[in-house]
Amino acid sequence: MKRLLFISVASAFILGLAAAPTMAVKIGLPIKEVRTLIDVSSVDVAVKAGHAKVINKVDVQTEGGQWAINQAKKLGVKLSGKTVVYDMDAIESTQDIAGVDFPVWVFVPRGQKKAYPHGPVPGPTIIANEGDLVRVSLRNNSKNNHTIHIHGPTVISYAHDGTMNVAQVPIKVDQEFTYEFVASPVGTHIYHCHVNANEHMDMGLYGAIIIHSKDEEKVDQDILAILDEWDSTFSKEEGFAPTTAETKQSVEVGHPRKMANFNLFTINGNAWTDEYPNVVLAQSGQKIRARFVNFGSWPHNIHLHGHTLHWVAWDGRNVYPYNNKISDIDMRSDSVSILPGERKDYIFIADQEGRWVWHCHFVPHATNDGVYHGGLLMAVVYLGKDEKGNLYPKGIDLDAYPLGKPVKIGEKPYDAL
Amino acid sequence: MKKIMLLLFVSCFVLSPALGIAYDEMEVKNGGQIMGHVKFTGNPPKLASLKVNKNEDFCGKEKSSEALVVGKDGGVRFAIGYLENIEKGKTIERKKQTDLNQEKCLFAPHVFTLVKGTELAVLNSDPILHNINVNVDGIQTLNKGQPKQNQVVVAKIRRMGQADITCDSHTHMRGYAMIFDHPYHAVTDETGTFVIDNIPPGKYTLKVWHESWKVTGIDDDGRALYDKPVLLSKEIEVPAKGIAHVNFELK
Repeated sequence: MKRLLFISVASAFILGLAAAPTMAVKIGLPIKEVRTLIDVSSVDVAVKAGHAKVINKVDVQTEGGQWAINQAKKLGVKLSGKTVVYDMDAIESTQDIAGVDFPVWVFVPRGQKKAYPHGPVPGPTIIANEGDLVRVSLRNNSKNNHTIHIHGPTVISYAHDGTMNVAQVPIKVDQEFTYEFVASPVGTHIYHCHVNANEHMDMGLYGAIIIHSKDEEKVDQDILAILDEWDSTFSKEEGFAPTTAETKQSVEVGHPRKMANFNLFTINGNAWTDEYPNVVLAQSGQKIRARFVNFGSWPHNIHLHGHTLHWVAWDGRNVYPYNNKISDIDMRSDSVSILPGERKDYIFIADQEGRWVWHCHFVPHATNDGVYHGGLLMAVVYLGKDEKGNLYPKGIDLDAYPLGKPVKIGEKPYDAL
Repeated sequence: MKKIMLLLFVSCFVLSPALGIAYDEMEVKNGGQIMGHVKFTGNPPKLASLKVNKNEDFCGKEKSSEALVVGKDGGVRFAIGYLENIEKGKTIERKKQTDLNQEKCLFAPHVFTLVKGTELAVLNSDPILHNINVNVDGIQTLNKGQPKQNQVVVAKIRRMGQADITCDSHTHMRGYAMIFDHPYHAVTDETGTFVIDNIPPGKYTLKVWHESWKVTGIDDDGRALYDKPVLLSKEIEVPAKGIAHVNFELK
């Protein structure tokens, strides 16, 4: 495994700007792109990515939004005086999962068509600060009906809850709907389509909502990992074509997912392959908050080698006794055990060096269609600092971090003191 | 220097989202054809035979190299012509299985193409142990033993790129495949000709790949190492219902 990690990361470095094109001749090195986890450290991240804009006033535009503001006042949730706006489209696209092309339905930032080499799942992360009015405007540019269910935040009108034919009429093709809610409670939440959810969520219509607080623990990195499973029965290579408005409105059941035979597993839409490894870049001494979301239908248990995880939040609420400062009395583990729909936040101190793996211990989930290694696998790779404080990818330096080498039985260890 | 190293490293993450083109299938109307011809210029070198390291009683003591096969008129066999970065076009025959045979201690065909996500069926026709080892752009994608005669291994190939195909038992055995996400590719025949049909009319980049015949060394297992593959490129225009004739030269 260490050899694999070295090759992957070293290759990323060596290739650098010359990342391989879609169809390349042999380049001699496997990696084409390192996939880092999603940075969710602040609203600014979403603004800089072009996903969000901030209005410096409470710019409510819907009755539901006004209800949420009134409710916030009743509950004592202090309004920030800002509105964060996310304009999104629902579109149809394609996602490459370990070389298998899946037709997907996805939420994307307004106007985006195809932006990523693998596809656009998951949707943009909605990041807000506690007390912000959050406005999500969804235009349906796909061939099916959709909604957005805001899952986790509680200061929201039922009419903006997004459940099909319970809270709202589905948004039909070429229609739009505006959701507004007040950002509370603080923590990791989610959103997803709630039209025929067993089909539409499996098609990729989901994303995360992160609500920050002034009181939350300061960390050096705040990163997001969304887990999901895929069934290649529903891929292009099996000839699968999803429902469209020309054949059947998906307000009726299109291609319902029973408990599918999932054989591919992703972190933020990417199954580990040697070409596209999932990587956390760490510096020794850093405090890292890792937020996990399980958007699939199966449980997972993501084990981090060589580190201690402090479990700090569950479904957007602090886990007792954690109170915004990690300590030795926190709930601690070395694995993230997470059920469908759950969100769990962990903080760990990067007190190691070298290269470490973080993988699902339902080991078939760490494969691509049964071939180890793949799927739910990440690498924590440590960066170094030179004498002037400049960062450099120490983790790829074989001399700095030599690989362990077995010796014949009875011989001295290769690194004997 | 280290700052530069980090910048290069990080640039992988920043720049790469712009990459990637998914292929969309559609009905092609007024499709055109490419007829390509790959010819060797000058006198082709005479390649040394490959020494057989195992099962000489069945395989023979040596095998002719297939790295450069040139016909009487100079046509080069086993080159691959393909369109680069084509986004839309004819339907992919996803149920079509690509057959590869380990026969008389050689891979037959020596060079082939296939579409990502389709099946490769490998037959061992020989009464000896073979192994099928497929590395796509340096990544092991299939590695299975075939100890029995007439044994077939079937696998979906889900990586794009150049596949180096070897048998771990016999160091002289080597084949190649190119794997694409579209159906516009073909291997040259004995006359050096390849044909690609039903192409939407328009301008394209046509490439030709050849494995190279220049031996640069021998690896630890005794397997010949070759120079990097030859890659040629031409900008072409495919006419509606017409044929674009394109010539390439190897030397």
